Amino acid sequence: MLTTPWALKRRGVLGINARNTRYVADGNPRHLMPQVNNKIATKRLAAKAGVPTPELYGVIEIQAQVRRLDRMLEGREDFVIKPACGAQGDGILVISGRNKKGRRLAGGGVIGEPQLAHFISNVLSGMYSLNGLQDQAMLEEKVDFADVFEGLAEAGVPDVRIIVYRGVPAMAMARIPTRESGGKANLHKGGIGLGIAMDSGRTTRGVYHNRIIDEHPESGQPLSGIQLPDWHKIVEMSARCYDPTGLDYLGVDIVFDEERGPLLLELNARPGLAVQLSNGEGLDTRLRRIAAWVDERPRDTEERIAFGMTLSAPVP
Amino acid sequence: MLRLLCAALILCGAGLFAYRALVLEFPLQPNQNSPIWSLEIRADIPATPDGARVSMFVPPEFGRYQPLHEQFLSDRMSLTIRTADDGSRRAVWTAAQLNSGTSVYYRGTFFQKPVLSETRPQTRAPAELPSDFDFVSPRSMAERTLANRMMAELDRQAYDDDTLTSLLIDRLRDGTDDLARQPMDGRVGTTPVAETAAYVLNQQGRAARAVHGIPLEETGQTSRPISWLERWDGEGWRSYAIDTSDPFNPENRLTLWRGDADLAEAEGTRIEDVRIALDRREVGSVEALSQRQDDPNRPLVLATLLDLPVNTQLVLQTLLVIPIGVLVLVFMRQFVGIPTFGTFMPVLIALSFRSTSLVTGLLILAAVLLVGMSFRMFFSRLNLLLVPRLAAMLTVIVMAMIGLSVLADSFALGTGLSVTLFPIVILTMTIERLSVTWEENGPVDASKEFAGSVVVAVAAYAVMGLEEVQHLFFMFPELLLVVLAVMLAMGRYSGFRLSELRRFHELSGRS
Repeated sequence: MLTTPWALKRRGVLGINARNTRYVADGNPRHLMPQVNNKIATKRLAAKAGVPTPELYGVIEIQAQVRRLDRMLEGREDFVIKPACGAQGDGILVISGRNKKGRRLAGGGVIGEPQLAHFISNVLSGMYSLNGLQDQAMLEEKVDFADVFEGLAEAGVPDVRIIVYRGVPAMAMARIPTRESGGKANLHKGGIGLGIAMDSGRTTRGVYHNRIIDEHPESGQPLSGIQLPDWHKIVEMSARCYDPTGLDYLGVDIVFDEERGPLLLELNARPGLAVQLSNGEGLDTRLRRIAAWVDERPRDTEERIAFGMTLSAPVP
Repeated sequence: MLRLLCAALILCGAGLFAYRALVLEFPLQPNQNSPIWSLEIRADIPATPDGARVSMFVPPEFGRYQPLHEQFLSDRMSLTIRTADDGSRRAVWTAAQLNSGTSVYYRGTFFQKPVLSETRPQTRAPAELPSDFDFVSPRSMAERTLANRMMAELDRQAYDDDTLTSLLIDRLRDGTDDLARQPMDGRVGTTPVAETAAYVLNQQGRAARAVHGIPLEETGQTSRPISWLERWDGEGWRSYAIDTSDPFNPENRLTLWRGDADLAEAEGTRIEDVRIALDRREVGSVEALSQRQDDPNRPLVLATLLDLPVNTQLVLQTLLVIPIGVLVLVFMRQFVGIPTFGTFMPVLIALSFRSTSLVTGLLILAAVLLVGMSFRMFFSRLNLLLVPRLAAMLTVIVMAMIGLSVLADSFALGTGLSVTLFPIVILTMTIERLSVTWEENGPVDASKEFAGSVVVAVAAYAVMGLEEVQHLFFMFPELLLVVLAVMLAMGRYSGFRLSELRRFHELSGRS
């Protein structure tokens, strides 16, 4: 069950230590991190870059503002509450309506107003925040997820994660929640990762619990060959996120709204390495090619998008 | 840049370490047991209307046993200390008059030096061989003749000076023939034998002297000095035991003085009683070092943390091993890839194990966690705010600890005291982390992280608990520079973690 370091090195696999030192520490200046760790700041950046995001209804900064919840929502009953500085999709509450007992949760069940207030206070006290400091609670548009994965996602929110290195989209995967993962797309909780060919936007294969699979482990559906809509637009959105952030190594998370199409959900300054498993390919090889290509001469956004879309096939 | 810094740090740390360990001979091992002997010599003096002068031998300064600490005590008498050529020291107390009886004391603590220095006075060659005719000697012409006759006889039997000396001692000690009895003047014991043997040898132009000291074997209030003989063999002084007549190594004797004089002498008064008390304390070489007060102006390289007050030392002892624990943690996380709660939580848990013991610590941790977790689950239903909830948890844990202490005490487990030392805040935060992880990521993740934390904590505890490690870092704090360098180097480690070799197995192309 163990492989050797040199075997991984030969395949260009990127390890966490190498990611942290060579890419995150060297490429992502720390003072630029807060803008992607804080989702409110991310929305501002996205707006600057012309990248669409779910609409922000309001921000709760202190406990007393919980009472003004309804005024902020302006009568909307579908919304999402999430910590501005949350991590790994923790502390997110998706509310899809209201009844006599309280608010309906998208995952089923009802949350009463006192429980909701308590949840928000937990968010504010920093329970879900990356650094454990005080946080803000965002009220955000609830995305109506378009079924772009041909019914693979039975519960929760599938998304597309693209690794962008120095402005070049380098590798992409789709993350499909399963019943096992409790509606979350995190791969280590049992979500499925799908590799995506950079040139076509078609899924190639899947990974589930670090094992390569070709069929959905629960429904048995085939995982390869699914064509994502608006692929070029998705790649372009991810590439555009580079300039306003100034972060060399960036994870871009995109979701699909029924009406609005692909939306930027969040940015990540230290995206994980599961993307390699999903694609069955080491990330380091591509990152090194990008570095060499960018070092040749400055490239504009269009060039970077085009170059990223050629990165699919491994170099012979 | 980083490499240069690391190299510089290692060079500094290791260099200083090597210098202090090899040149200054700071102990490398925790307990090279060297006993410490405390000696007290006390002489009682009666009242005298006239001036009094009392002289008493005290152990030489540069002997096999080095004084760590000395005190010369007296009442109304002034003190001078005289050192003879052979290293013997005499403390001389004088007073113009003594209206009432008094006592003079010498108190000293001694430890055995690892290496004997070559240049101390008592190892020097005799200045000149004694002449045939010694004016100072109290012995009569007749005695001298007897001595010469005895030597003439022995000379015929002896193979060399060494056997000659043994034979001489044999004969003097047994005292069976007149020839031997007469120079002894009827006295018995080791002292007259040694003194007479020295005298006889000196008569023959062979350098020898009597040595008096305390055997470092029995302790008690009434030690008596015993004597042995030292003979110059051309290169060094050879010691001969009186009871066996054979050469021996007087390493367990604390030398008091050399020569024929008495331990204490008085002028203008008399000495009523001389008492010697000896006590033994088993201490590590570290403590012995801590009591070495050679030079108050010693340079910083000589300074040790042992110069600090004991309380500070205790704190520092704990403080100094924390970086080692953290080093273990860094290794476990960066090289092995074990998931843990928080960053330093395992090291904190390991630290609290130090104040209990490993097994007790683990049991306490398990028991308190069990109680704490059940309360935490209950509190979580009450929808409390974060900080008050933490405060409530802390209180619950304090109560659990009290309960545990009482329980342990009633079962006479003897851990009652240490239980209370288990840091409560650490437990509170551990429980909080555990339950948050439990609620958000499920029991699998929570138990994984918890198991990882415990494994790392135990590993850190094991390394921090090594006596050698504690000793090394306390004795040689400069080693922290090396630790720092290692940590900095680890900070740029970009290789794979052990856990990744499994995680990325499918990518290796060998599946």
